[in-house]
Amino acid sequence: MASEKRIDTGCTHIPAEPYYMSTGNEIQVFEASYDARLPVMLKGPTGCGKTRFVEHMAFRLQRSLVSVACHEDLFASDLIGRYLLKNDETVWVDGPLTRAVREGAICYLDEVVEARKDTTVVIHPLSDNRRMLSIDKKGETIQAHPDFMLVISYNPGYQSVLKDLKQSTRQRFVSLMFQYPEAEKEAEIVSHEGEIGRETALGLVGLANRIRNIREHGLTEGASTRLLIYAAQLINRGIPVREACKTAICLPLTDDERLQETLEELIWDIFDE
Amino acid sequence: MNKGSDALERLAVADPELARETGRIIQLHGPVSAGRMTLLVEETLWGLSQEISFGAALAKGYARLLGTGSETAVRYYRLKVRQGGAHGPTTGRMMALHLIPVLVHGNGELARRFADVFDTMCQKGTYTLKKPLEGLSALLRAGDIAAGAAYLELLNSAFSQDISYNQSLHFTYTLPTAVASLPPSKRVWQIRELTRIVAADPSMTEAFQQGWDRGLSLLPRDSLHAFIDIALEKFAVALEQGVKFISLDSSMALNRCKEMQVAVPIGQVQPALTRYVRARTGLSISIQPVSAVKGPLAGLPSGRPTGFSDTRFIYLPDEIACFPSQVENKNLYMALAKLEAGLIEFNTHAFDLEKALDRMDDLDGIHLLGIGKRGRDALEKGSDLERFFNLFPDSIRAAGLFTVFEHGRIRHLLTRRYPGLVKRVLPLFRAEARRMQQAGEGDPLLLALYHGIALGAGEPLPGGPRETAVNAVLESIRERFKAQLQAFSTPESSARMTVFVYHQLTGMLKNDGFGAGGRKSERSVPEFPFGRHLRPDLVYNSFAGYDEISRKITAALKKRGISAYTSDVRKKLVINCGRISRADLQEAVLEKEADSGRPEDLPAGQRVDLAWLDLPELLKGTGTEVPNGGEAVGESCRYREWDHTVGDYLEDYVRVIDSRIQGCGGDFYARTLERHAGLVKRMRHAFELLKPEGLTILRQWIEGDQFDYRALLDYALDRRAGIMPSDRLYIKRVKQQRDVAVLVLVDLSRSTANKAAGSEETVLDVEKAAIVLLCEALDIVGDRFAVAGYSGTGRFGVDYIRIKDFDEAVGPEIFKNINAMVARRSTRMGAAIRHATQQLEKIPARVRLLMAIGDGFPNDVGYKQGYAIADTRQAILEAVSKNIVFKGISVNMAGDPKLDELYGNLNHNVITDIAELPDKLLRIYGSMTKS
Repeated sequence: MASEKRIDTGCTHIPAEPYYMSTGNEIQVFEASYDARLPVMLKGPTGCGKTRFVEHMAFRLQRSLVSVACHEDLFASDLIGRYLLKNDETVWVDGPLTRAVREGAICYLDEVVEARKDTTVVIHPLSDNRRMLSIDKKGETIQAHPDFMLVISYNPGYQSVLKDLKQSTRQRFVSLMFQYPEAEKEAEIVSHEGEIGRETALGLVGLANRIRNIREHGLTEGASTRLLIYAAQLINRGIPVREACKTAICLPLTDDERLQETLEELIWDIFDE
Repeated sequence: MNKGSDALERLAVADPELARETGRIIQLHGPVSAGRMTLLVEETLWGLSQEISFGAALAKGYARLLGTGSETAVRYYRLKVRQGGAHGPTTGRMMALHLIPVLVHGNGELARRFADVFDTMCQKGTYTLKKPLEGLSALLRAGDIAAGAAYLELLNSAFSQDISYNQSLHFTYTLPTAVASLPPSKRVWQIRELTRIVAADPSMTEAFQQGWDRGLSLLPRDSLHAFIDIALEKFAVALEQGVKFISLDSSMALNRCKEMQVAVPIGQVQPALTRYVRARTGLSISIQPVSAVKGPLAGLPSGRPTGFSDTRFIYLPDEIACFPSQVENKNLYMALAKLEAGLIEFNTHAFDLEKALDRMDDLDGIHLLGIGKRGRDALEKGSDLERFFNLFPDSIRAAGLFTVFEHGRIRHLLTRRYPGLVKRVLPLFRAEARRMQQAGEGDPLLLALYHGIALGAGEPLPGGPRETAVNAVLESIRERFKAQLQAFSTPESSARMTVFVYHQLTGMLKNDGFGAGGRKSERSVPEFPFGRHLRPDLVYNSFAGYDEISRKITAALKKRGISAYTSDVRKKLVINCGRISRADLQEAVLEKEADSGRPEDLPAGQRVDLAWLDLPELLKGTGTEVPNGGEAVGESCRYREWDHTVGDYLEDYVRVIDSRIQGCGGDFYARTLERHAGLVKRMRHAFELLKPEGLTILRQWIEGDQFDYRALLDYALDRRAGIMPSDRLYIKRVKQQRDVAVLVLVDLSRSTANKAAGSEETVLDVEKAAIVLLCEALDIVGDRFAVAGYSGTGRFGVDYIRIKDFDEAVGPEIFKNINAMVARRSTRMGAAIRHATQQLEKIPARVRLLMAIGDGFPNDVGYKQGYAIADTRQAILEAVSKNIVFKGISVNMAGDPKLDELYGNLNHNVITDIAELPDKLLRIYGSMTKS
């Protein structure tokens, strides 16, 4: 089950275990990192399970989770906090990062390279042995709660030079590399999340693997597990398989007619409706 | 000593070499009586007395004819060569050489017609004889008598007309070349259609040849006939009309031809099939025409389409025209490619003879056939599959049986993984099997087995074996095959079925050629629907080197009591492009252990020790090094190039030399601005509008420069109303920014020195003017930009000439650089795009744009047409995959569908009137980058 939806403020306790299938030793590494309170960086293509993994680990470690979807208009104060007018008073309201630091939650900065460079440096003192957050506006320095952990994620595949992580940021994190799972596992994930049969899920995964073989031929990214789950969900709701594959997988990936032709041939070959 | 030998000795006195050669020919073609030998020698001596080459031709001609020729034929030959010789030794020699194939392969009627046409051609001159008659002899020796007869009529039509010397000479070269290029299956009627054109008017021949190259060759028989009817009608009205029509110059003719076209050439489907196969298998498999297989591996030509593979290429027919519509013919291409991809995907050619024999010891037939013992002692040369087939008394039948079961295994696996494919494709093959059965093609028993097992047909083949006993056996074979698939599914299991069935059918069908003493197959390959068959010889040829290396390694291991399957070692070599490590060999050894049990003295979990194995020494001299890639050498860089014929990159293939242009003085820049003053004014206005408007006020921010008074009012009102007020009370003033970087890549090939249509300026002059205006425009709007030119000759000399770098300001230095742009050499566009992409990649910008301006298609030494277009397209795709937007601008040329193939149909503009370039370039840029 997915975690409750809330993004920018407050810590979320994850009430039920989010479905996640381990594909390697990422759980052990994350647990060890948590034990040592080392910050973790999750790298991988879009839709391969990074965010779901963090939710799963938060449940597993019985920690609250604060997720922030980073974007280029994200200011430092969006993370740290700001003064707001409440009634007749000016009150300080902690941002998501500060709240996580105070309460010992896991703070997850998703697609951290999208954020402004002056924002990402805010996390530097939290991600080294200082483990502290400086709130300049208040003149306060907070020592991180012993249970606080910082996790960031990004997709190294299509970032431009401008948006790559600086070495000074990179080298503060333990890295976990995520890829699309191997076929059997990916099928199980798709079957579970899309609520479809295993055979159909295997077909979807087979299709994705074949699409990933021609990534360099004009597709910026291969078909993600997320797209497969979308297709599965459409199929579960009565959309014919080929139609679901075309709308959820083929058309989002490319506008090139010739590539679309090849993808449609594969769809027709793999699925017998 | 007999009289025949005496006669030959007389010849040896005159010409010993000729006598030896003659003796050799006589030995090949049958003994010659003494009387005939005497005739041979006398005629040869007569010929030698006139001219040595004439005498030699006579000797060889008679030697060929006398062994098997009838008395009539011999007398006719003597008469004709004497008649020819009377007109001179050249005429005599031509007759002596070329009458022989007519007499040997043809008949009396053909011989008479030959003589008539010979005389007709002689009247034009002996220069008309050599090439055309060589063409005729080639046809006859290939056994195509009908084509030979048709060709004679063509020659007669051509040379019997009142034509000039030049026209005669032209026919002498073009007609044999044209006929030789015709596919054997269509040759006869295509020659007849060509004859109609030649007979109507020889001057139409060249136009017809042009039309032939453009698409007439793809028309089926009736359509070509109808098309020529129309052309001749037009020709009768006006010569030019007819010529335009037959040459496919007119769009009406082109459209008509396209409508009538049924045949699909492989070129039309190759890129799509290659892309599909790459996606299916994840391997760099490429589609090639069958004609690409040359030499002894080429095999026999067949009248029907065929498909086979060698694990690196899938070979498909050069052209398919067996269905009445283009769509159906394209579908057949797709079907053949998909099924062949299955053989690669499911490892048919990873068959290992040793593995197969290891799994057959329990089989009944193995000892009766003596395969077990012979197999292990089998010769080292040749692929494992070939060696397996050669173990059987009838290797062709064995190959046929193996194909049945292996195709059946693949069908079974395809049904599980690609049910849609099986559903769409197999009905086509079942229909073809039925057609073959009705036409009596192929071995009926094999065909029935193929229909049931390989094609998975539930019902028996109509017209197949009628005997109940035979059908019962076929059914039991099917059941056994199904049961075996449940147990294991590898190519070795197909071998197991082959042995079993061969043995089973031996006793039952002794009279039908199975088993010892039976009739062997008459063809060299078994016949199956659409000619699909296995080519282990091609596979072996592709990887002969790896095969040898893997046998060397397994032999070295065997000496130490360690075994690995040769196929597993070979697989590692193939995957690693000729490299292999101890770890790879450990895996191969473990795979064999898993198959046949661990050595007794090796505890479980322990790997075999291979530390003693000196791999570099063992592999010395095998020459499988892979070159290093990508390092820049000084100011030059190496890039790979896409070879679409193999479907893979040629690493480090091209060298790009990056240099700075040497500027020169002049007022080109200023003059251009002056000349285009009106455009400059409009352009300045338009690009000013593109500029971001200084500061923009953003409202409803939760922090900012000052309060938004409207929001404050809402805040107060909400509080009074008891509603939680919003905290978005601030306004912010931010600078809007364009973040665009553009690299303009200009073609500096020699064709740009040509005058632009309707102008005194060259193409390059106009391009330079456009660059000047673009510089001004980009300077106004503030986008970062660079300008570079490219040219060069050959793959080691691609020049990338930097005119303006990103960090340079537009100024006098840049003016001089633009002045100095001159036309250079060729256009190796792919490499230039790759180098430009590398420059643009380094620039931090939200939008990165690469604009390529050129006046034609890429063209360089060894870089032409389809190859150049495919590589350029690939380079563009590489740039796109790095999030660089590409735009191609073609100038001074008409629109061409191939530009879509080159750039992609959304990625380019054509500016036919180059004078419009400055204006249009700015518009294109403006529209692409406005926010």
